[in-house]
Amino acid sequence: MKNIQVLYFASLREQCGKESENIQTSCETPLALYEELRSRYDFSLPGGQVKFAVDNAYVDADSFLMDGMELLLLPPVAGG
Amino acid sequence: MGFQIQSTPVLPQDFLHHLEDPACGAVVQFEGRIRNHNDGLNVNGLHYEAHADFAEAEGNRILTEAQERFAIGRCHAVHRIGSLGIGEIAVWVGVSSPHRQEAFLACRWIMDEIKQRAAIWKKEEYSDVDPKWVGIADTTESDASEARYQRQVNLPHFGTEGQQKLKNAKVLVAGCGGLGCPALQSLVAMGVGTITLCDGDRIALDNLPRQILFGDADLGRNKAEAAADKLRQLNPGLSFRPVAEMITSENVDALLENQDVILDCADNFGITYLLNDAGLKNGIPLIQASVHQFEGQLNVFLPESEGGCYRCLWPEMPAPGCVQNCAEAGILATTTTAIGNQQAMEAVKLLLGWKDLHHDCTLLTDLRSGITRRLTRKKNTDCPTCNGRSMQLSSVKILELHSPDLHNLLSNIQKVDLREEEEISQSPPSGSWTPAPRMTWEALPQQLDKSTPVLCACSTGIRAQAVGEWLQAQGYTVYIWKAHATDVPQND
Ligand SMILES: [Zn+2]
Repeated sequence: MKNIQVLYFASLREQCGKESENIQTSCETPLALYEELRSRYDFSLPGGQVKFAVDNAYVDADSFLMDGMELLLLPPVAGG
Repeated sequence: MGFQIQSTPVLPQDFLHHLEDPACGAVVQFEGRIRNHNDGLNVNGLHYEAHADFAEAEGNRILTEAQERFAIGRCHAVHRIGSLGIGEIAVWVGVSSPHRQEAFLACRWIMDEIKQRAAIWKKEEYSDVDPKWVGIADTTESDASEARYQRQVNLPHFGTEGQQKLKNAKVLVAGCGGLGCPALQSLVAMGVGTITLCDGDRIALDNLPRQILFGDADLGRNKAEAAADKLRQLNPGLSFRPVAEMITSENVDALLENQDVILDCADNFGITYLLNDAGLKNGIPLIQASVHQFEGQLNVFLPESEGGCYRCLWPEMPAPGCVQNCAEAGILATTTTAIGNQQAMEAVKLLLGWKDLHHDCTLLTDLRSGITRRLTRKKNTDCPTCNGRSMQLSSVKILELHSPDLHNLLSNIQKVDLREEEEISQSPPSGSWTPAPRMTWEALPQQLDKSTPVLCACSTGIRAQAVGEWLQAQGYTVYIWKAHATDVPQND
């Protein structure tokens, strides 16, 4: 199991009602973790439409999750 | 009603009958009189000359524009020429309107425009120095602007060359709402020379808490026009081109022509994709931003850059039900003004050639926590726009009661009512419609036929636009109704 610090932004933050949390997971990739969280929080966006970032850079949805990572989950935003 | 030039004394009572209108409860008159001093010199009198034909033609254009801009009844203006003594009336403007706000605003606007635009010159006769001829527009610009911009010129890497670059710059601001208002306010205060501002929407009451260029007197006016009027007052030396239309695939190339940078301050994905694709095609940098509650996302997209474009980041437009807009999620002026000013800051860096431009990254700002993050982006090798394949889609079209082809179009169209069930049962639309409450939006493509156009309607046009843009991106031909669904005439 890995410990991942997950940070939620914009509509995801609103839908799960928290800004961040520590998640214990066996998921290998950000996308797999998002799908797990999606079923927990009923996120409206499909996994293909969310961006992931680690260490101040976007990462691919199928990159490797490592123990102790801080993972940002970013939805697109339209308001103006 | 009209604008007249006359050489005899101006007597206001002669013109009051031009303002009579039983629907008008407010009459505002302005008199411009000769005063005994100017710029520290004693003035004995003034001599006005005009190119009468030009001045009258321009004056009449100003009055016609005033009637288009403000909800007024009648207006009339007179300018005197010849020699005038102290205390005599040089110019008179009168406006009547149903309510006083518009009369005050229009009277002031007409007077300012006459000073700026009419072909009238004056010669001041002083007590102790030679007379001189000047245009009636205020101040000699170069003297004034040197002092005006001194504090920013003093900044490191700015200087008079920097100020000149801003003055020569041409900036397109797409959207005059929550982000557009503060961005425009700063660009104009800083002296950006030529600004094109576009918005097809009208000012509503719930816009006022964050769309900071507007006040109660602007309700119902087009946002681009009202913003341009306000900005002209803030800095009359600049040139403004208000475009009272939504940006679409039809007008985007013309709007982008000769622009140095685009600020995307719009509130919908359709316009962002359109500006991204058109900006890249025309080689124009795009400063894109959007907000959600207390958060902002900002990207600077440069053509030919390692960081790619908006489509690299978000290849597909999200389904409209998945991401909320400001109306649904809620929004605060402190967020929009902060992020709109970040866009203006990036525009300054870009125009002045500063190296710390935030390109090839996304700037995430959270106004509540105060945390700002900078996320590095890279080009998506599969991105169609970056690989030169034209992705520019045609835009949704707007349908209104007075659209010329309305009845023809309505005879063969799939009508979709995007309101919730409760709203529909309270005020059902006439004719046959597909009811589509929010829960069912994602399934709409399975219900609709691509070979027949689609009309999207709701209660204001906001939901219609969001869903319409998304359907259009999937290959449907979409019309959106910019009013209440029940206003669509029955045609079946
Ligand atoms: Zn791209």
